[in-house]
This record gives sequence, C-alpha cells and structure tokens, in this order.
Amino acid sequence: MMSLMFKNTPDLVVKPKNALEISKLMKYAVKNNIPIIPRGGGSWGLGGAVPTNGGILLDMGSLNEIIKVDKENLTITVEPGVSWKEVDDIVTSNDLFLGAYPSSAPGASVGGWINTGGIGIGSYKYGGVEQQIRSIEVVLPDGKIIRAGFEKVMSNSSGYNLRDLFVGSEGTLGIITKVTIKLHPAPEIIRPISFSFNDVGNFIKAISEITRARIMPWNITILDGNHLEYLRKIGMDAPEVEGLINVTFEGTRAVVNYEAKVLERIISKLDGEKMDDEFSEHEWSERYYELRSKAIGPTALVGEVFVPVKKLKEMFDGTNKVIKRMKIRAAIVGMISDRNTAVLMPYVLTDERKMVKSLATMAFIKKIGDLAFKFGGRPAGLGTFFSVNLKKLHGKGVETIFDIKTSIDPYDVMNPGKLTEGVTRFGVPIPALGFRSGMELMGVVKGILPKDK
Amino acid sequence: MIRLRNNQPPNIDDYYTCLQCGYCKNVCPVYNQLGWESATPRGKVYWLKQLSGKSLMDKILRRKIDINDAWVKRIYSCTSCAACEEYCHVNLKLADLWEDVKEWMLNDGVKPLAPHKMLYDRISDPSKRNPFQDDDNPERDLLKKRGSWLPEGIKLSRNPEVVFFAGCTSSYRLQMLAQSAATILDNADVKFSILGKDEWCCGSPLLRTGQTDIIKGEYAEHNVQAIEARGVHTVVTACAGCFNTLKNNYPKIVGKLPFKVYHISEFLEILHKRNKLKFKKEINKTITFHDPCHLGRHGKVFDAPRYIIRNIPGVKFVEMDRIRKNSRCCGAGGGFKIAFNDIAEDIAVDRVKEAQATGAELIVTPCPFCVVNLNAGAKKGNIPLKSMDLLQFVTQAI
Repeated sequence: MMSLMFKNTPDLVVKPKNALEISKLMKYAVKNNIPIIPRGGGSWGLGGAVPTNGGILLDMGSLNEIIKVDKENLTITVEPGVSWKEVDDIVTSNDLFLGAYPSSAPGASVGGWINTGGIGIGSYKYGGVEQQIRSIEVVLPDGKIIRAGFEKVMSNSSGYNLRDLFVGSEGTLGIITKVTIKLHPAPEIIRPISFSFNDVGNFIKAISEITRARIMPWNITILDGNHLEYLRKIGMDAPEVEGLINVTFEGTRAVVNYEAKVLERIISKLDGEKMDDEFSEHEWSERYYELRSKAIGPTALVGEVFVPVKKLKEMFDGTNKVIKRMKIRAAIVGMISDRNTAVLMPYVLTDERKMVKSLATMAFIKKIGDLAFKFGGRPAGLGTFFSVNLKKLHGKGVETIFDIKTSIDPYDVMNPGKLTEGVTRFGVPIPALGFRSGMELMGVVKGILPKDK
Repeated sequence: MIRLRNNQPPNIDDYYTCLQCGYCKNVCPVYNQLGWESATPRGKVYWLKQLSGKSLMDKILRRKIDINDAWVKRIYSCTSCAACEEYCHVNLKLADLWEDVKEWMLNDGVKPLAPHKMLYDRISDPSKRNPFQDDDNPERDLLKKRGSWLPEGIKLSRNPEVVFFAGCTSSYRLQMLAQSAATILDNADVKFSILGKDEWCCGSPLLRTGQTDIIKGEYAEHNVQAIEARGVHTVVTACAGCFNTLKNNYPKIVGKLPFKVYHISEFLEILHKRNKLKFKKEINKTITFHDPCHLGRHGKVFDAPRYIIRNIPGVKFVEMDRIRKNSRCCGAGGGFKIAFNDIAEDIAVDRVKEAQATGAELIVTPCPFCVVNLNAGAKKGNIPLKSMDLLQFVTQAI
C-alpha cells in the first residue's frame, strides 16, 4: 500500500566519508533538484529516513568514528553514525557517565536521536537529547559547513540558539556530521528498584507521587498489566500484576540509599510491592527491549504521546476504552521524562498479513494522539504521516516553521515529504482533514471486525 | 537473477516478527567491515520478507524481488557467530535461521560457493571424510591415517570411560593439539580411547554452509554409533566447532545422545578440581582470553577455560571489553574464512586490537580456527600479539 503512495526506494545509496563530501553532494543535489534523505540507525518507526519520492539516501552509518574523549572538559566527540550504546560503553570504560540515551540505544545513532528530538533513559534527571549535546557540525543544503553550539560550555545566552534548531528537525534542515556530547563524572552506584501493583489506581497514583517527592531518580519506566501478560505469553518471567514501576537511581551511595528509602515509603503507602534485587536488575537489563513480545502479533504498531503526569489516570482509562472499542490487543509502556511529562508508548499487536484488519488498526495511533491533545499533551514525532499534526501542534507558529524551512532549504531537497509537508510520490499533499477522517473511519471498521485473539 | 524452484524461504513468521530495530547491526562483525545495510541481519531479513511476500502490488509497480549472486554472497557473508541473536529485540533464533536459509537456497537451485563445494566434495569422499587432502597426492586415502596423530607411548584403554573426539583439524593439520589433549588425559590417568578411522568429520563446515544432506543422512548417525560402540558415556572434544555440532546439532538429527559431550576445557576443570590435573610450572605472563563463538554463545561454556587459565601459577589474567555472551567474533567461523579470507582477517585485526588494549602478552583461546585467524589478523594489522590454543598453553604448565 505504502509503495503506491510513496516511492520509498531510493535511486541511490551513498555512504559519505566526511562533511566535505556531503557538502559537495548537497551542491550537486540542489543543482539537479534531487532529494537527499539522511539515514542514521534506521530504528525510528515513523519513516523519517524513508524516501517519499526516491532520491539519494545518505547512509550515515559510514560516519562512525569516535573522535575524542575529553576528560578535562567532560565531553566526547563522535561522528553521527555511532550508536548511543557504543557512546555509553566508551564513556563508561573511561570512568565517565552519559546522562541520557534513547531506549533504542543499541540501534539508534547519535545523529538520529538528535534529529528526532529524543527523550529516553535518564531524561528524568538529565533532560532530552538537547541537554546531552554541547555542539554539532552541520552541512547545510547550500553546502556550507557550520558549527552550532559550543564545544566546551553551554549554549545559553542571547542570540538564536542555532544548535537547538536542528534538534527534532528530522533531517529537513541539514546533515549533522559531528557531535560533541556532554558527560558527567561516573556515579558510585547505579541501582534499579522495581515495584509491582495489584491496583491500577495505586499504580498511577504512585507514579504521580514520585514526581512530586524531593527525590531525583535517574530513570522511571512504567509497564502495564497487558504488557506483562504478553511477556508471560512468550515464556518470560513477568509477575501477574496490574502495573510495574522500574525506578533507577545513580550517584553517591549514601544519597541513593536515602532516596531509595523515601521512594519505598511512598510505594508502601500505596500497597506497592518491592521486587527483589535480581528481578530489578533483570528489568534494568531489559530497558532496550520494550517490544519483546512482538512475535504474538507478529506486527506491532507503536504510538508515542506526551501527557501531563496528573492526567495519567484519564489517559490510561481513555486508552483502555479505545482498546476495548476497537477490539484490539494492546498494552501501554512508557517512561516519565520530567516531573510533569509522562511519555507513553502504547503498542498494538496485529498482523500485517491481514490487510484490512491491520490497516484499520492504524486508527489506534491517531486516537491516542487525540486523547493526548485532549488532556493537554501531544503526540510525538511527525515523520512521513503525522506532518498533518504540525498545525494542530503549533497553531499559527507553523508559518514561522515554514519560513525557517524555506530560508534554510529554499530548494526543498532536504528530506522532502517529512515534518513540514506530507507529500505523496505524485506531489499531492496528504490532506489533513482527509487523513483524520480516514483514520476515524478505519477505527470504526476495526470495531465492527471480530475481536483480535 | 537466480531462478528458484520455490520462492518460499523458511521460517516466514520470523520475518514478520523482526522489528527492524537494528540492534543486530552494530554487533555484526561482517557489517562492521562492509558497512552496507544489506550485510546486516535485519537487511537480510528484510529482503527475505519481500521475497516471501511477493504481492500484486509488486507486479503493478514492476518491482523485481529475486535473488542474484550478490545476494547469495551476502547470505554467506556470515561467520555464524550468533551475536545478532544475542541482541535480538524479539528473541529470533537467528543463528538457526541463517543455516535454514542456506539449506533452502541450495535445495532450491542455488549453487554453493566454490570453496564450500570443495569442502563438500572432500568430506563426502569415502577415502577422506574430512575437509583436507594431501596436496601432493590428492587421491591418497586419508581416512586410514585418521588416528595416526596419536603420540607413541600413549596407550589407549581397551575399556575406556571417555572417547576423545579429535576433530579434522587436530587430526590432520594441527596434530599437536590432539597430541596435547591425549598427553594431558593420559597424565591424569583418564581411561580413554579415540575413534581412529571411525571418526568422520562432525559436519560443522557443511551444516554451517547449508550443505546438510550427508551429515543429516549419514555422518551424524555414524559418529554417534561409533562412540556408542566404545561403550562410553562421555565424549570430550578439543574443537569448539565439533563441540557445538555434537552438543547442539546431533540431538536435533539423531535424537537424544546416549553420551554426554564435554569440551576439553570443561573436562580439564573437572580433572583439576579432582586433583588429577596439576599445574607444576609457572607461566609469568599477562594473558587475555578470547571466547570462541561456537564454544561460548553456541555452547554456553564461558567459565571453564577461564578457570583453567586463572589456576595456572604466575598468570596475570585480564579481560577484554567484549567477552562472554557479548564477545566479538574472530572472523573465522561458519565457512566464512575459506570464502572471504580478506574480510575474515580484517575482523581478526579488530579483535586483536581489542586484546592489545588490555596490555596482554598473549591471547589464549580453545579453538584452532580462532588461533589461526587471530594470528593472521595480528600479522595483517602488524600487531605484536600472538594467540595460542588453550591446550598448548596448558601443556607448558604441566
């Protein structure tokens, strides 16, 4: 189906060696009006690195050098094709610490996470990707190579923050060719603790209370009862409970011990059960593997929404209602990425080989996006399909976004068809209203079809 | 384009389960060298999925989904190290999948790569039954000579408790390894025997390259019967490839084995703990250990060789960054080296560099292929760091 709408096979794949080569290629592309699609680890689900109308695909995996670990200034400088796990491994072996990385760290590239404006493991304490990076080198569509941000100090001050302009730009403004990442001294200990709940209400209340307590976990992951059930189904050891909260602390032993005690007090008041160390360690080692149980589908459609922590109950209830109405198999996993932001990644298990059913199931992603809007949050990520959300997300600001895009890439060669424009291979834009009502219709169809087993 | 008799590759559900997350990508030693997505496990799965699910849409869009020589080469660009399986998001049995895919291709009209075909021809030759030949006299019957590596003075037991399965490489090429093993077993008063001309190639090189018919049809059963005929309950092998094949493949072919399979490192650990193996000489060296993929990830033996090395007096033991389940392949396995020697050696260069970073003076590993390829890698990378088989190392200490 997708290939009818989009020409998603590139005409050419190029593995660039350095910024200079990319600069030359950009000039060639502009002159000949050829789309350039940068591709990092290719681990995102929204088609950011998939061509919409052919062109040259830049496989950034070839830029994979670790340039320098600077212990004196607490930074590591790498090329953008390096995976976040590799960065973390090198940083750790140098007795330093990386504050946050994507939950897809073994596959996700440094450049990819920046371009998707990611949040991830450790964001609760150390922020999103923009707070992990000091500076970036970017090749612009006109071939200019610029540095944005400062290698050794913060970017905050007056003047437009050029660096952050490229964060979340989905490769529509330029090609990142070098990144300097901010580091920290290594912690004395990293301690994961898991808590289980038999009551959904208490599970959600506990999440909210943790965010309001004067403790600062490094990471908080939440898994619902359905997710745990699917894990048991594939033969993994998961408790039969309604929810699991995995909290990880890092830092000085004495401080971590104190914070863990405060946390345990919060949990025990809400009838949560502390799991043993072995279980907690196992949960921590599974942090990259949210879709372990995909084989049940075997297709999984994954959504991603941000909601205010205080609206988590409504969001869970609303999502579960949609699951019931659409008669689908779905679960909610997520992480808390700052004191007021819960990032939920609900996923549906379906089977793409049953075309009507699985297409209709796509409505789920749209519906949970709508719920997020309703509760003061937002869907995350635009990519190929969800650029129709841009106006809804930014209102009149969308014109400013268009102005930025036009001023940096007046030739429209940088990853066309993404973020600012949903365009099919025939140059026909995806109409927002049509897209939304189509999705709604599919949701209705799915509700009429028999229940998924 | 290669015309296939049947366009349905095996294990189709796996292709749909694959998340395309790419966790397998950066840990694939071949991708690390080639850098093309088509060399990654997920890239191969992606193509298999297209191949298995050819649709009307493909016809409308005139998309050609076929396999050609380049693709066959990609499928064989795999060291069977199973690192992809270790990192797989959705627990796919990828190591088995690659073997199943090769078997399907060959059964379906694809020709094996020339060096693999040569292995097949020799192993299936009744006068050889091993992958080697006497180059001066290719017709020579090597099978008769299979047990001739046995050192003089070592008496085989008529009533053995253990069979030592020497393997082809130790029988014909690196005889010193089989001789070390026999000497150590003899010193420890183990009542053992060997299979001599009854020992046929275990089949590892053929099973890894999809040429499975004679192994599944004859060789596995022959070897099992030959061992059973000696009346033992224990088989020991000094080759990581034989170990993996006997332990993991044979039960799938012939059913439950009537004996237990040990790698020599496991057996040496038992002997040492029973005080039957004593290390009398010091080796004052800094040693690092390389996990052979077929012993470690496939065979789940990680501790025994480390136990042996640590217990040799004088040894300072240091670990590399990537060890045990996360170990990095040396590049030799799965019929890869014989077909793509250059890339195999480049992979070895990376591993030797990793070893060098530990400050070790010697790499010890219990696999003859790893030793050969790591030494080739050191030479190619101009790195002054040698590799030695565990048995040879142990012999220096007794």
